[in-house]
Amino acid sequence: MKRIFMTSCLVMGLIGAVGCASQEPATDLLKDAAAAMENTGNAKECAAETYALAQNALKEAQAAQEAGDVETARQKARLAQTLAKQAKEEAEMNAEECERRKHASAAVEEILNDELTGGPAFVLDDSFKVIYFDFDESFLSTSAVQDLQANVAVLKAKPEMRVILAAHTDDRGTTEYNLALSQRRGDAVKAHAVSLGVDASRMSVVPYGKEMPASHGTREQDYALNRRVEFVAR
Amino acid sequence: MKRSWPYILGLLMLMPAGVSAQQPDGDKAAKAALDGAGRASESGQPGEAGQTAINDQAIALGVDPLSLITVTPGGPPVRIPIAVPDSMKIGDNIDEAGLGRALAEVIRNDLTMSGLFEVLPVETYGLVNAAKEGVTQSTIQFDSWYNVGASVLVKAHYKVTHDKAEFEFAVFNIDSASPVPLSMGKRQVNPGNVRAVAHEFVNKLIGYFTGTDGVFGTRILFAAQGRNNFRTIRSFETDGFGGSTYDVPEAINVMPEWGPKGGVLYTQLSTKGDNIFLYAGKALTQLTDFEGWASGADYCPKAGKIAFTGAREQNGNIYVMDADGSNLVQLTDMPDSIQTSPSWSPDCKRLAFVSSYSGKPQIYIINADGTGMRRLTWVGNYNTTPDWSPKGDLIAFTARDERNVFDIFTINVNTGEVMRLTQDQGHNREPSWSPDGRYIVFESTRDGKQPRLYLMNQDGRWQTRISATPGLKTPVWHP
Repeated sequence: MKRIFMTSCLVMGLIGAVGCASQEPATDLLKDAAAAMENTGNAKECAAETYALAQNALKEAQAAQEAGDVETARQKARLAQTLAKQAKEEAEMNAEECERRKHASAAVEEILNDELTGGPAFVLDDSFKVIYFDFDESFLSTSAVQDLQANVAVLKAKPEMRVILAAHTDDRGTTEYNLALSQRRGDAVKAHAVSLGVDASRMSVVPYGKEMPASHGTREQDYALNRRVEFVAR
Repeated sequence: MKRSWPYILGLLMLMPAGVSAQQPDGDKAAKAALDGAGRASESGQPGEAGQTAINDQAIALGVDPLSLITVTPGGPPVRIPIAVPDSMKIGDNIDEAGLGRALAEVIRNDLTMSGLFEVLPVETYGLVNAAKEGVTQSTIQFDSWYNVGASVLVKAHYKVTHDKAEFEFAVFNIDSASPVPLSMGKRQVNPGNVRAVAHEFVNKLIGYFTGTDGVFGTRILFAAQGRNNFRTIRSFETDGFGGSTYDVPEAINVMPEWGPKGGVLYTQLSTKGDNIFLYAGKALTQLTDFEGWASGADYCPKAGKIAFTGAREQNGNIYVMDADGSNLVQLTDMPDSIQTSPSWSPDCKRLAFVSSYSGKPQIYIINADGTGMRRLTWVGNYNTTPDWSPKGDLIAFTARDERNVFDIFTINVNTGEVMRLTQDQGHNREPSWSPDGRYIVFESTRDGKQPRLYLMNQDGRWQTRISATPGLKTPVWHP
């Protein structure tokens, strides 16, 4: 049967090169389908259902081929290829979750992965000091007032300069309350700078809550570094 | 010899009422503190006197009031022992491609998360000759399943026709050796939808045993750690699969919420100011334009209203607007304090929110027209992120205790009774109710510094991790 198909294709090819492209040999389609199955990444684990359907179609294609039912073999091989592609796409969507589950027992690795990279939101200008705050508070401590006075002096020396007051909290607490708390810190800095003679319109407060830690650690000194208002030249 | 299966079923049917009616079983001091809190809130105008009494009591005992509230056992273990063998292919009764195992794993996982069933380990099914079983009663080896320890058996068979899988489900009561009537029948399934059918089956099974269908396969929305310091808005199904990322401009996008028109609302933090955006039908709309700050949208579908935190001058306050950002109304006007995190009651007539007016953040309630404001929480000094339950009786929230540890609590809106749901498992924050009020999804740092998402029953039992991915924050269950 297989030989007959190949022969007829050869003959047709000689006559007018018609049909052979669309009537690709089942063996080639099977090869493509098998290759597609090999190329599904982690679909076997991460898109198990569709992968199973693809594998089922491939097996049916191989069985049909062996039984000499070339048309079915071709059809099932194409189906297997389509399903393999779909499984691959599904698996990509689930990839991160799925991979992490596989390694979920390796708790140490998970914690290592938790150490996120990335630094503060802005490249900070050395001429400004970072204003730090006490835990859960938005009032200015004595040292914060001194640092703020230095920043005010810089602003007065550069009357054209406008700044963003990027306000932050440490990463304890809840997302939105921290956002609100950081705004109060920014506002406290702004109000004091105004009282020292800086035009309010030169400073705009942007609260970031706990979303942009300057330090990713969990020690008290890390938290202290994160409770801050940064002066960023616009 | 026969176990009392109908008795277990009876307990399950009663469970929601039974559990919430239970009094915490702690020591006398805890009970006194809770009763005090309850009375104080019931009086409507509690005043500082009630709080002072609780504090005095606590100080006399040398403890912080919040630590008087501990996790209480949530009643008898009433989980139904259930067996869910891998589904087999009709005809040859084998599962060569693994489709049947994949289906059964989704079902087993959902049933475990439900807290209603004890899924018996597959390794113990060896007593049963599965190759001889079909989905009809006459083929089921009831005695063998009884010896496995099952009260309920789930059977599913499948066949594959072209690219479609066809599933047939059956459920059996092992104790009475009879089928359980469940309206699922045969289902033809397209590739990619197998998990959806598994979830649907579990939901109907839960409906049969409790009177209310389950919610597995519904979606949970959250903010995820993106590259650099960005956050992305993503969602997945209740078991962490079926993930998708919303195609919104890269930024620090936080606090997502299910919005109008099938879209999502979120807050973008930016040097142009923090503002609320709606992403619906692939279109992005900026709904607020607050120079200072606008954040944390909460959408109430029945009224088509969005509540959020806005700050024009110094103070955060609660605002309400229409779904398109029009008709802006300022609801609270509290001086020199933070008002934030509004959460609608299910009928859209009231809002819970956080206010630091008393010095530290506490949960308050206010009518949607701005009248009738009252303080709800009187224990603890950091109570935030209220989320009003879909049944309307409870508000879940995050509290900080005296060790600076964050845990999840509920408070009864009417009685003021406080229950602690998490304890000694890292920090637990940002609770959100399931649409059926049975579960709460929340973030927990019990597995590492970055939070992962967990699920628990409304009384704190059966805490299950739903996602292994770290850095997922502020989950919101689809209403």
